[in-house]
Amino acid sequence: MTRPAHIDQVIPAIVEHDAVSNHTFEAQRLLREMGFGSEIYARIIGPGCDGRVQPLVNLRAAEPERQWLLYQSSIGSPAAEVFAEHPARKLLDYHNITPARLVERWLPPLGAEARLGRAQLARLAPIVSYAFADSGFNASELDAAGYAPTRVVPVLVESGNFEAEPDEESLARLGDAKLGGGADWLFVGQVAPHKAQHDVIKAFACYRKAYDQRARLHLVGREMGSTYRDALRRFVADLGLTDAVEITGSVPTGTLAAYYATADVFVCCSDHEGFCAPVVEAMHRGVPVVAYAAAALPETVGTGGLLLESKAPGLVAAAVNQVLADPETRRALVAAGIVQAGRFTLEAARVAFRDAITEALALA
Amino acid sequence: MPGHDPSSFADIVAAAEADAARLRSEGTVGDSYERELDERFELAAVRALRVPAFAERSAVLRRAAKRVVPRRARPLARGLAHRGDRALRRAFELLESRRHRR
Repeated sequence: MTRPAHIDQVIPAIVEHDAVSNHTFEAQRLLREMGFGSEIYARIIGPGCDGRVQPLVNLRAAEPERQWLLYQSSIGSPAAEVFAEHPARKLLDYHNITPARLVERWLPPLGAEARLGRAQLARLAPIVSYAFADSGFNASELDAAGYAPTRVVPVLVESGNFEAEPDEESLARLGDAKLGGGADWLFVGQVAPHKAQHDVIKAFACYRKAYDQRARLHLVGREMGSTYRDALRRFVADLGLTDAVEITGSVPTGTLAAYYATADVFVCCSDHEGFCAPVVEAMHRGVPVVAYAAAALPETVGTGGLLLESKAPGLVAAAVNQVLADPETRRALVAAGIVQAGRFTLEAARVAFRDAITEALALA
Repeated sequence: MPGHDPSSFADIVAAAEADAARLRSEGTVGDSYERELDERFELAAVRALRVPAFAERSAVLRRAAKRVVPRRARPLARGLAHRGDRALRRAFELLESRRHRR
């Protein structure tokens, strides 16, 4: 088969401050560097992305040998049907689909989309010629769905986010709060039930009760619907922790950097993560990580943080205390985290992505 | 702990498990406290989940009311519906908190 002139991407929705969306933009840059024409076609285009992305209805069929399509899969969408019916040779990049059982109580439509996504993933397997995923955990799901061959290509994390300087105003505000003493817990991720911020709050309540009554918790990330966030707010108020727990919503990159700069520990109790880029950013920025060993987290955290087999609130609190009470333990975790984060550099991910495309071309 | 072998973070996890067991035996953070946290979150969840249900019901009622309530009576009907909705929410919260106290 001749080398295609275009490798275009199809994605259900593209928005700012989103790991899969950032990955898609970076993939476009790489494909263009490799000499391919490359457009992004999205069914839903969020604010700030228009102009860089084409509406899916604009996707036209060129000669199959001239155009390939790369589908970014992370949720069920009619975009997958458009991709399936297109005559181009097909590649798929899998970022995992949250199991419906974890979200449907809170957002029934999202539960339905997640089920649809799993069904579409299975249906696409026979017509996709090459697939890759951003973690071994995700690749094993592709294998189970019948994809072959598969390869791991880490998330193309926008390096600008990792290197961004903390916003001075946020840094001053968070620094002032520190003057009164107490540790700063941080979790970064979409406010969503499968990220289990409620379990972080439970562990935090135990930590305050047992070890440090002046501790603060910052839950940073955009909200997936308002119901789960409202439940968290009610829970926090009921526990009398309104002054100690901050649920920020989406924040600019500089503000996010300030949260990392002032955090004493990053605590993750997620039930499901396909990769978890914030854990890598925490390790990169020298924040020790304590995480529940679920889904892809053992692979992402690796030997760079504390992995717990249970997220019983008392145990998570005790683990955080082990990290914060002993400066040497903290230093060792920070050092190990920096080494582990180094395995997920944008450059390494770029090489893996280029290798994957080259292999797909060789196999065609 | 310079040169600390990351694989021995297992010893930190073991120390955390031992400390969690101590907190449990002392009753600082015992089973009953963890259970209480679970129940409190469940209550917050039930309450938060009721809000969209109320909103959805209110929207349905509003659409139905538009068909039968004469235009000039609509401000009054809106006021009554708003009060009724608030009273229902309060009653629900009260019921839930009583059930929780039991």
